[in-house]
Amino acid sequence: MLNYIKSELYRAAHSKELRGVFIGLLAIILFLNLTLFLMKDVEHFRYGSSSFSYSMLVSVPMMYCYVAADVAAMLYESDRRNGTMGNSIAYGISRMQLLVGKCVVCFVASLVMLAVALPLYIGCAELLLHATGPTTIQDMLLEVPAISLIATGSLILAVVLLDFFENSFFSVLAWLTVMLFLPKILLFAGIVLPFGGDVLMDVAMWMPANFIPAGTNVNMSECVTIWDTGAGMARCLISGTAGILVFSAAGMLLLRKKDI
Amino acid sequence: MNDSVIEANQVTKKYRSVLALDGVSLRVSPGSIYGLIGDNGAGKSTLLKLLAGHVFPTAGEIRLFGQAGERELLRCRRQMGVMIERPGFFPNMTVERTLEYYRIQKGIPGKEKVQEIMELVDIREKRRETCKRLSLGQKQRLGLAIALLGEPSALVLDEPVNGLDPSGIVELRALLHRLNTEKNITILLSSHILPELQQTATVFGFLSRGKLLEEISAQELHERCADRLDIAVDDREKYAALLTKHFPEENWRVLPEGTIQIRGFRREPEAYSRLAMEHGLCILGLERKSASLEDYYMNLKNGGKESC
Repeated sequence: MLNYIKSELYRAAHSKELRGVFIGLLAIILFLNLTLFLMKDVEHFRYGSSSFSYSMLVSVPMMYCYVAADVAAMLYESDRRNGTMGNSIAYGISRMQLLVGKCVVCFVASLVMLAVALPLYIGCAELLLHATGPTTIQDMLLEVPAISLIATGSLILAVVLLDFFENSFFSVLAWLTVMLFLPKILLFAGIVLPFGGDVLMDVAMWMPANFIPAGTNVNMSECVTIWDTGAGMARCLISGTAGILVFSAAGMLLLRKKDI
Repeated sequence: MNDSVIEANQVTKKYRSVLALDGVSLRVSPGSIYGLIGDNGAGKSTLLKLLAGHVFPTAGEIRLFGQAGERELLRCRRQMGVMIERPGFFPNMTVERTLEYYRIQKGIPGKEKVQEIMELVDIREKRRETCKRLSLGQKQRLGLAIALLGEPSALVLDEPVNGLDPSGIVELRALLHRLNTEKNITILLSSHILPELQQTATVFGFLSRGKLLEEISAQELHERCADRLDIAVDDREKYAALLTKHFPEENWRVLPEGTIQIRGFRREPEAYSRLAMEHGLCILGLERKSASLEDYYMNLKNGGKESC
């Protein structure tokens, strides 16, 4: 499996698609902050602050999940269709080793991107924009550990679904269903159902798509995040850990005997 | 002690309601070149996919290098090179990087192996091309290069000549022969181009509708499809007696329509007509025939078994 991971890291390092995503991400960061910088001295323009810049990311922590899933898609969306997965299996790499290897590679690639993108984001905001407003660098930095396990879980889910479905459209659809639609449906069902609704709501409120927006309120006058409190941070970490375990188990179950 | 390199025992594979393979058993002996023959949908690719681990059997057992069981098969597959249906590669990676990727994956030390393998399959001049820009034949060569990385003991190739130009086919045939004879690599290959397969394989397996109709060695096939002479005479009993007396070593039989057929005849055709005429018999017809693998396969598929 180590050789598989090495080979995949070699590929990731030479992948034009991944490089494209990476450059695109950095370009968006630069574009956003430069735009705010150019506008900051315009009269009545209130958004030329580092706080507003940070709030764009702090208010949407699920962005980390989207980027992680996108990294997985860039690397593995055609793995079955191209026959490259078949080559690895024919060489005696088990489906479980493939799954673990892919998750490790996606995690490493995401980490590298984060290690470059986050300092760039903070650097741009701190150097170019006014240091005013409620959202601080601390909120931004605390968001990373709070969301890291949830993003890792979403990455594992993306890899499992990309391996399971030959068509990447279905993988994206299934990923959105599990990460976004299903939590909302459960929450709604919990609210409207006369019996058993409390249980459903309790379950739904452990899902990031529900408890993060419920505990987060970031705007120009205040910055309340769920990871501000110990209980909120614990909820993030527990939910992320549960996601990692559930999606890994689902991957093992779905892919162990999967024909390709 | 099991001495087969590849073995399938009563293997059945169902895709939902479709029975792709129905109790297929085959053995590929060490050092042989096994040619798998069958129409589209006969189950060739399914069988090869089972061997490669792409799909799992519904029933039956696969053995590689004498080993069975999931873990053992995974280990044994590391000694195999596989190319099924179409070569697998990353469209935007260059040929050289693709091979480097597989070299790392297979844990093969030495970057020079990539250069060697590119030389071997004659794709070195395309090393900086992205895979998606290769022609079909070049893609086949790349697929073969990937399969050959790591010096496998056995090769499983599905339609390897597909897309190759005539000189490419000749080169591939020579390469497979060389790998087989010099490195003792066992080869299992399927092909639609039967004349090509006839020149390459040492054993043939005929698949039809998920069933293995027959396994036959090239020697047996040669004997069954050997040149034959169909002779029609006015008195076949007398001519049969003459053949027995004068040419006792000949293998002949009387066909249902009355023609005498001499298989693998050892003399010039004139010798047989002279024998008849010297004894006052009249030759009504004399036809020299030889059968190909295609003839044999078509005959077998249509229910015949004895001759081509």
